[in-house]
Amino acid sequence: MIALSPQYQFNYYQLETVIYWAIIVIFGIALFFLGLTLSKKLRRIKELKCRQALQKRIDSLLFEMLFTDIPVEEVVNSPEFQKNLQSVLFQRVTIKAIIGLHHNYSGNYSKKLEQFYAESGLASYSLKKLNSSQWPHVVEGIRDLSSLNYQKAYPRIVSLQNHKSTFVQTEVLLGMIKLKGIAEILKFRNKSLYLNDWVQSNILFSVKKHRISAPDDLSDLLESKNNSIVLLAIRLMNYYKKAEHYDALLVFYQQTKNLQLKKEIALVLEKTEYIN
Amino acid sequence: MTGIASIDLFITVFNYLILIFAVLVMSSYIILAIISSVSLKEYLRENRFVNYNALLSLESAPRVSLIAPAYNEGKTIEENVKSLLAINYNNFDVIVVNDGSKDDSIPVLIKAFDLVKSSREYHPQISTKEVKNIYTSTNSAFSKLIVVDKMNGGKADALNVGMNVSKNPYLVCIDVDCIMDKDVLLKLAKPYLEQSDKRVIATGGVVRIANSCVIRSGKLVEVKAPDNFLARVQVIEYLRAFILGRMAWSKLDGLLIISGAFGMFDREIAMKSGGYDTNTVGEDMELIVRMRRYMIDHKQPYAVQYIPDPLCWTEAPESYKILGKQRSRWMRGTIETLWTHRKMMFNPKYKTLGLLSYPYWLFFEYYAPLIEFTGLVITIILAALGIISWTFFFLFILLVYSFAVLFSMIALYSEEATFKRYETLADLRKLVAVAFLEPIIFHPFTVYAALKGNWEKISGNKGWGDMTRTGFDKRPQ
Repeated sequence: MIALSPQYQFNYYQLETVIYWAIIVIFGIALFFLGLTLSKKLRRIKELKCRQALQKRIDSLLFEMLFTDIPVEEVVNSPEFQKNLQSVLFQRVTIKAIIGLHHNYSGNYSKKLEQFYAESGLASYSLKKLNSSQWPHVVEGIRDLSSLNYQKAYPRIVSLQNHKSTFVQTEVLLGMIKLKGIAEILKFRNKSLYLNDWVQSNILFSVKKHRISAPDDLSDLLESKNNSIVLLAIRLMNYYKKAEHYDALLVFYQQTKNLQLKKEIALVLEKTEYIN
Repeated sequence: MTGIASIDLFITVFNYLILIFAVLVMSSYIILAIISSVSLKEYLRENRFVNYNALLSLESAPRVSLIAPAYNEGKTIEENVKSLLAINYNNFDVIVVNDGSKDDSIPVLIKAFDLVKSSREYHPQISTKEVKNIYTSTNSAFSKLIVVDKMNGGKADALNVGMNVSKNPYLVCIDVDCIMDKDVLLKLAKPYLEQSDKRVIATGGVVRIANSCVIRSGKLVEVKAPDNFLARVQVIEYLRAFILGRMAWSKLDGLLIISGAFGMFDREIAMKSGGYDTNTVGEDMELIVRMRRYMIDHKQPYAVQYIPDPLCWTEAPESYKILGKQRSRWMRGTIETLWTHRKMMFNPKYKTLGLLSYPYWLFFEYYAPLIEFTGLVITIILAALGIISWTFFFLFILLVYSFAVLFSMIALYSEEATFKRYETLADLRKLVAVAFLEPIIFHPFTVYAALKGNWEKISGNKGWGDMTRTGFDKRPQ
């Protein structure tokens, strides 16, 4: 029978000491995580309360500005607003509230909100985000600036089109469309930028949401060698439903050998008398 | 030690094996948790600004069939189906498959949705039990609804019928009694739009526990920690599994399961793979493994995506009897899937699946309860005989206990740092309390249920067992 030499035999005493210390360490880490969770929750509850209180004040301030004759300058220069503007949380909540209202109101109301955003210094706060090393901040900045139609940001946003993050690149494209219209897509006609279906759905969503009108030369996109751009053009034509687009689509349908594009055009033309 | 060389050798080898196994299990959990945390952070960063409603602008968004098998759901089926029809998406239909219910499910559906027999013929690509009738609605408000009445054949058979009936390229298989997030299809469909180099064959998401949550008109209004102890422990268990486990497997491209409660599949690949296996009770795991094998065997690049957002809320068993049945069934499903796909074990052809996922499931999911039970029994005998010290025994138990508590704490922290669905301090207190009790009360029961599952498999039990649930109130308020 094989007998183990003593050094391979289980040394319970030594192992007990190791296990004893392991238990202390593991429990210590468990308590550390418990403490972290607790502090995170308490901080979140506190921030939520603070945010709710802030939201109330901001809402009343914005509604007063929108629906009374108080000029934007007066609100912006009020000592209370200037004092609150030092807080990052205040800036974030205010921008979110402005975007929400901007989405729901049009005409003079939306112009007034855009003016408030530009003159209050909140636009500068968003512009600073464009310099961030973290791409989510850059995306957030582009989204805020373009949603609130801050035209001065256009060159800065365009300068980010070769950003290393694809998320930023996509947001730049969306921002350009929101600020200058769908004609911006024409600039990408000869680029190899691949617009997957998800990006395309975001572009279509922006076009619909911001009621962006069709450019005259949308049909030119059908000449692009980039199939994803062509696909987007077909989808845009489907949205705009203009007769001249259908003619161009029919010609393209007969010429192209790409099955996906053919299928997409067929979906559009089936709704018309062009294809039965 | 005993002084008898052979017994001493056995004890030493046994002790080393148990110790190595325990260390391996604990290390694997920690490694998976680290990978999960990193990928979860990345996911949240990438999806922070996602506007899922944008997908509604795409007329050619993936066309999806929601397949909901139903068996004796007459009491709740009307509201369940209405809830499914209200999901926020463009291109989808709902296929309810009545799996030979003995109650009034079909008359209830006919009345509620103005159903009439359809002229549509049933041409099965996957063989199933006989389909009696296919119904569609005369009311345009319910034009998305198809009801199939078939002979009873089990959940997998009902899902196969749904697959055969569907004409859409994507399928979402769900449990009809689950509460779905209204954006569930938008979130499940997004990966299919993003991938270009690989074919996405399946997406799955997180299932959470809905017991004690406030549900109105089929929608989850407020998340609460369950009042029932067993359901509350399962919250911790699900958090550990979904947040700290599956996310990592997805990152490693080794996900072997997409929850049966809901998952989205590429219909063509699911059909080519043969559909759901009606001979197993673990049909959800088995299908995904088979689909992956199909893609690898046919050398087609593919992806299986995991969405960590809580999208589906289910009712957890609140009694030991029901829980025991569920867990023993899960164990049987695991055994059946592992056995069916045994060729994958350490097979480099299947890459992560064969070299990592399969062995992990085999050793740490299937063997773990067996090893745990055997180890415990032998150690107690050895301690009782005075061969090993009781101090060592209790310290070892305490070590395992402390690790289980640690892992639950990490899961709770991850939840708090990410989705934050349990909002109050009271909820946190309740969950922390059960985290300390889980290893003592709940875990031994799951080991027992796993052993029972093994026994049932050996003795040839193939049934699902009665899974009576309280059900959610989905009536409009």
